[in-house]
Amino acid sequence: MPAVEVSRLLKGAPPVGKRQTLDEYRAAGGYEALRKGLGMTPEQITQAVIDSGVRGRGGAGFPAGRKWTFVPKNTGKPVYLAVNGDESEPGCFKDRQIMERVPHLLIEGAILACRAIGAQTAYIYVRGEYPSCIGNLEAAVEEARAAGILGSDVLGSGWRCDVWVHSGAGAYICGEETGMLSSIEGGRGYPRIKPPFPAVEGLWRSPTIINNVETIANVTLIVRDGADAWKSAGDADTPGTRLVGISGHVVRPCHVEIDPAKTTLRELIYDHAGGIWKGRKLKAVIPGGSSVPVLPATQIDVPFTYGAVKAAGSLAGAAGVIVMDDTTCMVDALLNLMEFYHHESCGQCTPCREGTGWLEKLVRRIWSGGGKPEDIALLDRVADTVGGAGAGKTICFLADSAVMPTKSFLKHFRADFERAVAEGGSPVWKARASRRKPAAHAGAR
Amino acid sequence: MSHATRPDPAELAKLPVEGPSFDELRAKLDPVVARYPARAGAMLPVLWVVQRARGGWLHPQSIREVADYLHVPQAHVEGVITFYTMFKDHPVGREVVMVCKTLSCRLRGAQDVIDALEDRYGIEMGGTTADRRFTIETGECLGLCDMAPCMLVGKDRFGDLTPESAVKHLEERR
Amino acid sequence: MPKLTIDGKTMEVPKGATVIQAARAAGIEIPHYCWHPGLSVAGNCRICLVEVEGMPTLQIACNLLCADNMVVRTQSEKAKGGRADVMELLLINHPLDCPICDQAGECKLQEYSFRIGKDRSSFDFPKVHKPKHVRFSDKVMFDAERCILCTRCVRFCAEVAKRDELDIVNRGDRNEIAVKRGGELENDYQMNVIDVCPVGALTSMDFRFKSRVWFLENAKSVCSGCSRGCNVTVGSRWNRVLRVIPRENPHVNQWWMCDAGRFTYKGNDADTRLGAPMIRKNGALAECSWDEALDAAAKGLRDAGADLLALVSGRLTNEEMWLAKDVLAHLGTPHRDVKPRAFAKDDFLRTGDGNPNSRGAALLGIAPGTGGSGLTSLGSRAFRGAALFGEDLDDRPEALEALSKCGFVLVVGSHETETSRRAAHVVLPGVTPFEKDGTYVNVSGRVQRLARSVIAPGEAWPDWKILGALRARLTGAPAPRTPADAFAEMCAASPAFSGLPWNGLGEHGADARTPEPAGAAR
Repeated sequence: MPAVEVSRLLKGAPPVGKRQTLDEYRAAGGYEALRKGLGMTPEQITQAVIDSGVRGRGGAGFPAGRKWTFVPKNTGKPVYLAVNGDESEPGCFKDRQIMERVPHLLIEGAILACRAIGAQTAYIYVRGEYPSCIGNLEAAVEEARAAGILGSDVLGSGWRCDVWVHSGAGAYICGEETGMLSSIEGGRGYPRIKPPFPAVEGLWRSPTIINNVETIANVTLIVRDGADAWKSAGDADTPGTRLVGISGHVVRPCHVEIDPAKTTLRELIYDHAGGIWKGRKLKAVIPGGSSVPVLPATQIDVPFTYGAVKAAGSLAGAAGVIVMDDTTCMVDALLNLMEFYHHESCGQCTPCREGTGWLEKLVRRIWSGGGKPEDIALLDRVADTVGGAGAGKTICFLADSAVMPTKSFLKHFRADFERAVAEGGSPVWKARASRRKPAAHAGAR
Repeated sequence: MSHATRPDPAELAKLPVEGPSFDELRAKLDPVVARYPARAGAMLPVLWVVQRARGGWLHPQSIREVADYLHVPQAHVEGVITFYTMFKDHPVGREVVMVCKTLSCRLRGAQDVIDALEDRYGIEMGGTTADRRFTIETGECLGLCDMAPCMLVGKDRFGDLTPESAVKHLEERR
Repeated sequence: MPKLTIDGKTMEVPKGATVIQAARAAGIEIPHYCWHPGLSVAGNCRICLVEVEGMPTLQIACNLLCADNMVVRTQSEKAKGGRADVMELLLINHPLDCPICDQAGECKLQEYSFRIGKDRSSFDFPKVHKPKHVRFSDKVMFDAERCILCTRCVRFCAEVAKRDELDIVNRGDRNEIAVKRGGELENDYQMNVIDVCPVGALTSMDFRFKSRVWFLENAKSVCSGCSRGCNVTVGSRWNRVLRVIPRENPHVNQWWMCDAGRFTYKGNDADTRLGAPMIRKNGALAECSWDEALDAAAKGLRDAGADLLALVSGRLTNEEMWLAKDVLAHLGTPHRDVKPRAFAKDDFLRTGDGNPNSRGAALLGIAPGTGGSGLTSLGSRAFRGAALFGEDLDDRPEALEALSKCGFVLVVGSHETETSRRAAHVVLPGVTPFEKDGTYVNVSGRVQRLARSVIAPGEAWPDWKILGALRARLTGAPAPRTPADAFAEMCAASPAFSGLPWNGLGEHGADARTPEPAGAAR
């Protein structure tokens, strides 16, 4: 079956590295959705988003329209929109395509979302490692302001709306929605305990709605085309298109916009990304960014919808497909992820602060040849001690995000760990030890 | 990385403050502060402006001035700076190089790139080249997985790196 | 008023109450580190995990609002397992240095580890190392390795002391509490961070290594530093006061006290303590027996009669003031006064009045009577005699000069002073507030118990006993045998204290019976 690419979000987008200007965007019908939206009531916009069924593209998949209805009415406080462009999940680079190439699509969606939730200020939080996105978004915001699209009189409607770009500075946890709020307020990116929920008390203790970049970009399309037309892609579970990134051991690492109901994981890997590199075989795939469970090669014949990937034992998450070929040592791959979560744990709450380090140390010991047979069971046990989906032991999901790969790696690829214990370490470590100083490993702390 | 050992503040304070005076920076900072309902909200953007304008790192004097400017305690500014890896509380090279080390890049040879850079410049990741041209450190997933292995040099990105091409890119910038 | 069930106990709680509060009120203690009743909820330690019927994940009791029909289980296998997991993780990087840790014995980490932890750890890696012996100030020492990052200290400074002096630096398992670089803790309440620290990370420079806490004898008393009357626990050993820490009293000081109050004990063991009565003979003070001294004092007072100026210290207890007033009434002198004592004022606990019992003095009428003179008249008017009960004039050289010209001067005091050396004809050794029982009335009218924690040196007598003995000699009235007797006598005669029970004051005191202003509706 040929690879089917759909073009909605990135329709007319310039190539990677370039930005669609305001004039180009307008020539393609840009900001007509806003004009339409200004003629609608906030409730009508919200209803359109509810009707579309669009689910949060940041990973959790919560229905965005329903989220908007959580904003309490008449509190006397301002309402804020925070757009999550802190795309820091390993393996994910889809939001970058929007922010860098079609920033006006995002800005238009942000204005519409503000209109719907009663906000007049939106902050687009972009990770510090995305200088091209920050620069392009800021340029687009300036264009929009100069054109009267942003500011005190949006398109002559008399309604004020501001959008500001807020740059992060190197902290994965700021992609956690409340960690992002702490960061926008100027603090350490500490996630917040709930309640209060952000929709009630978010930025500066005012009602705040947080949506992912791709979600907000879709709002533009939903308002422009109507919910029904928008729903023509996808299915009831995952309406709309999805932007997916495919990376790792594939011939052609790439991003692609797909109809999730009509595209399987296999097609993403073999058609869109050209299959496994170097003529090798597939060993494992992480479908939704590094925090979701890994799947063995046998589990890839599923459509890329939230429900189908979940049924296969993982999560579509933030649509970062990481592919590993049959030469991959899964101990090495897991160590890399454990280094990541350990490094990125904010350290606020006990299980994550202490546990992510323990997980990394255990995997490193196995990787570097010091592992004992009982270490594998211990690793599994420590993972349970630290958290796990729905354990509730931590303030946010970061610890659980370290636990899910750990548990799934052990479940599907235990043999790699047993081999590393029995044979004096991971093949990666052994090859390295013979070449360089022992145990050297980038980022080892 | 900024959260290695805390530098000795007394030693750092002896270093000169590069770049414009804080009063000169105010013209740039005031409109940024105005974007937030509370001054402290401008913390990250203000730190970015000051860091870029003043030699790529935050001198103890800069930290004090930012604290005063935003009406927050100095300890709070230090807490923020040491939380985010891209804020530097010690001198760095003229450009910071972030070599991605996370999974998608590692799967495609990031470690070889890192090794090559360490060997070429005789430093470990996090170190600064002898001529202070570059500080080279590892970064966590830079979101350039489609061009793995990759690195950021200042605001410029380089992808599909090989050990040779990585070194070549840096050498060409010298 | 939500009605919920915790561990099978059904209770009704005020709206807005959290599960940890409700449980506490019902006598069920849910382990906690970061939660403190006087601070905002942080929810970071995760040790207060409980299971709630109908909720799929464990919940932290400190941030869980009570709701109608909520069923909470603190002892289910899942809840206990969750807490044991958190406990294990708290300990993996924590130094096992309890034998040399000053917190041992009052460490929540030790306590919960024993109660809910596992008996061994599977963690066999080197621990994360962080700075030790970090001086936060000359009062507070920090050990980052022992710290569990609960942020109680950070929140105390920001929320209670209103001085944001602490924050967290670094990230992840390298997080550390820190003051600003090159800076120190400066606020006047900083030592409370030592008390709120649930582990041995913050210790008192003053108290550390002086004694294991389990060797301390603890007396529940009241601070004598100012008229707030913060409730304190005085810890002593070998008959020496070693520390003063705040004791919770919702009516007075909540959980806090100022740093200066903690150091009020410092003069207690001074070399200048008076250990024996003295009479001036041939110009010099010489030790003598109590009988001899009391006879001489009584004679001097009687001779001075209505022309006696009496300074009654605002540091004396109500009972002592009462006895002093009775003595002065018998002598017929209206010249009685309290010397004001300054104490830095702030907008939190420190009242600015360094006399802990000013209010008691006012209620008992220790002030110049009709036609009477006070302290300020010293120097402009000659008195036949003067009596200083617990007071001195070292800080007022001119008044002291005038005092030394009086025909007879009695000084009752715990320390040798310039006043006693220069002016006294009779010196009777009294005791400090750490060495006697009694009551004070604080600035807002709270009658609170002062408790003896150590025994006075030598032959010193508590001031109430001295005053009782003097009164017996002057009037024949029986001397009270205990401060409780004196208290009962005072309560019977003084409307402000009418009906207050000595033993019924409890740990939190009781409000004085202030007479209603005329016409005021109740």
